[in-house]
Amino acid sequence: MGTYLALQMAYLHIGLKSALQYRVNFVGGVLGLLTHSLFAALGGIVLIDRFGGVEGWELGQIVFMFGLTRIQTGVIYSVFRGIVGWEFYVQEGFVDRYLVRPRGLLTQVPGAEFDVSGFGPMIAGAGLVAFGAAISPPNLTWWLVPWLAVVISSGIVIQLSLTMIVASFAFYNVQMGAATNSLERTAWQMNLFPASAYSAGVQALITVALPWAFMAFYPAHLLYGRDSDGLFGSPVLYLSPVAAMAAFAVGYGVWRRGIRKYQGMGGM
Amino acid sequence: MREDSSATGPIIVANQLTRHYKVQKNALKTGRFGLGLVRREMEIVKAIDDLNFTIEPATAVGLIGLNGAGKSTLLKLITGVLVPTSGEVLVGGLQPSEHRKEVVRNIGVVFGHRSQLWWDVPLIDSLNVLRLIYSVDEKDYKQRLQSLTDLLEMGDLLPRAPRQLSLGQRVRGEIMASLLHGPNLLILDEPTVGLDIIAKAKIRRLIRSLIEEEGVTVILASHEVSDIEEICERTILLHEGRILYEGTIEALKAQANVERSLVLDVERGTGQGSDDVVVEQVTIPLSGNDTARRLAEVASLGTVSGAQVTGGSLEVILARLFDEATN
Repeated sequence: MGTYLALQMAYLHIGLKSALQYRVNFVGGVLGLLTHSLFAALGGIVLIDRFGGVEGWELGQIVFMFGLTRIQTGVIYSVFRGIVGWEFYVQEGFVDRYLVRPRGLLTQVPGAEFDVSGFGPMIAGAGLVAFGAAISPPNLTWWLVPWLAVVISSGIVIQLSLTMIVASFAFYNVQMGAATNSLERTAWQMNLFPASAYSAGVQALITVALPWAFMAFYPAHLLYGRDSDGLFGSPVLYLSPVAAMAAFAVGYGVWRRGIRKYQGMGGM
Repeated sequence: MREDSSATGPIIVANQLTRHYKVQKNALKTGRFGLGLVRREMEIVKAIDDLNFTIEPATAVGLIGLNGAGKSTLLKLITGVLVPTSGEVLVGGLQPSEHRKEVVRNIGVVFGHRSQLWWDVPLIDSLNVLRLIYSVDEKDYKQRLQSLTDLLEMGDLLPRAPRQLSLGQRVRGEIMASLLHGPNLLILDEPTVGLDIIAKAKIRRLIRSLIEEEGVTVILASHEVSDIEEICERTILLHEGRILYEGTIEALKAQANVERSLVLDVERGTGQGSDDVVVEQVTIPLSGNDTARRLAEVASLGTVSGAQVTGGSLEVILARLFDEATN
């Protein structure tokens, strides 16, 4: 574990050092995604504010939930950039480079392909969480901060697992870049509003097949002391970590199978 | 880190090693030039087909083949990047596809076309990260870093980023990065591509010294035939996934029975003045029984001012072999 952490820190250090060689690009990348996240949120805020809330959820609560998903997406963009852009790494033959080293892909790729521009959504997300909490404060309990940590981690794992499933198609030389983008954009859109605003079919979809509702919507019920207003009753409110583990089990299984079926790309 | 593998037999053993790819059929074969949105005809390509060979420790083996012959696939099977369709390859007694991490811990790989170094940061930073990737003990790392710095003459280059290095310096940096963890097998894929003749010679000498002084086993895949001639004792010729020839380069040359000729530049007077001479080129086949008689005849015609043997180069032999195999 010590060596693993030392390796990740070394990757982070060399990645930041490389990125800082091009300072304008560094700052521009962070600011670009930061403003992108804020403007997207602003559109939703104006809309929700006009109607005074959605399905009994106040504006501040919705902003708070959306902020959480932005933090999670920012981590995916930064730490798991290599998985998001996996198709490129396969096509360019970088995967071979990783596979001739005595480490797993998931040990090497996050650090090696770290992308600072993900700090943009992370900062924007933190700002939105703070703004949402200011106008609609969550219940201040002793477990607020630990639960937030669990929620954010679970959301990251859920989003990562779905990304891994789509990225695995690249092992079969199937281009899925468009699907990765669609997945990310749909998650974004779905998380902009409370899941209870959607039809029963969509709620079932984002709870079972694509468990985005576990990234913020269900666990936020506990933070605001609400009963379940969704399709699946109160047990799901506590199940974000379980949903994350289940999603990762599927995602990792698909990923492992992809590696076994990998055909390589031309020369080494 | 390096173990004496001479007592344990071959470092690599391939038994009926086969790797197939499933690819979309060429439109020229199928006659279907549509978008292929609904139906696609697929075919199986035998990239590696029933290979059997062994590679002994502390030797250098050249891998030669035309584009698409299966060289890269074979290297990927040896490093565990790809899983065999059938058969097996054992590296140090282990199947790389099943024990990839253990196997590649003892392998160094240099890609002529692709860098393993971080482009924008000092070379020493890349080496420090590679130390952690390979879990090299800090004391061993310092010793190894020093000896490789001396061997590769990299002292002044370690604080510089790869983008600031010449191609030759960068290749030396790549080799250094590949040897840092003390591998007993070094795989080189086109290591001298794009290098000038001085840099090429330096890299070749370096690789030979690694084999002779450090006991490293080298597999060299290259289209640069002179690399293989100067570095390798043995060669494996691959053609359409199968072995066309396996053995020493000398035996290949002897076996090829290529017509070799001696081309002589003969100066002789024109008969119009004592200083007027013309130079004629006379070609004498070296395969016949009357070579000596023909040489004596040519010598009597005038002064031999130049001589060159043509037709027996490895490049010519390979071109002929591949041409025959293709047709």
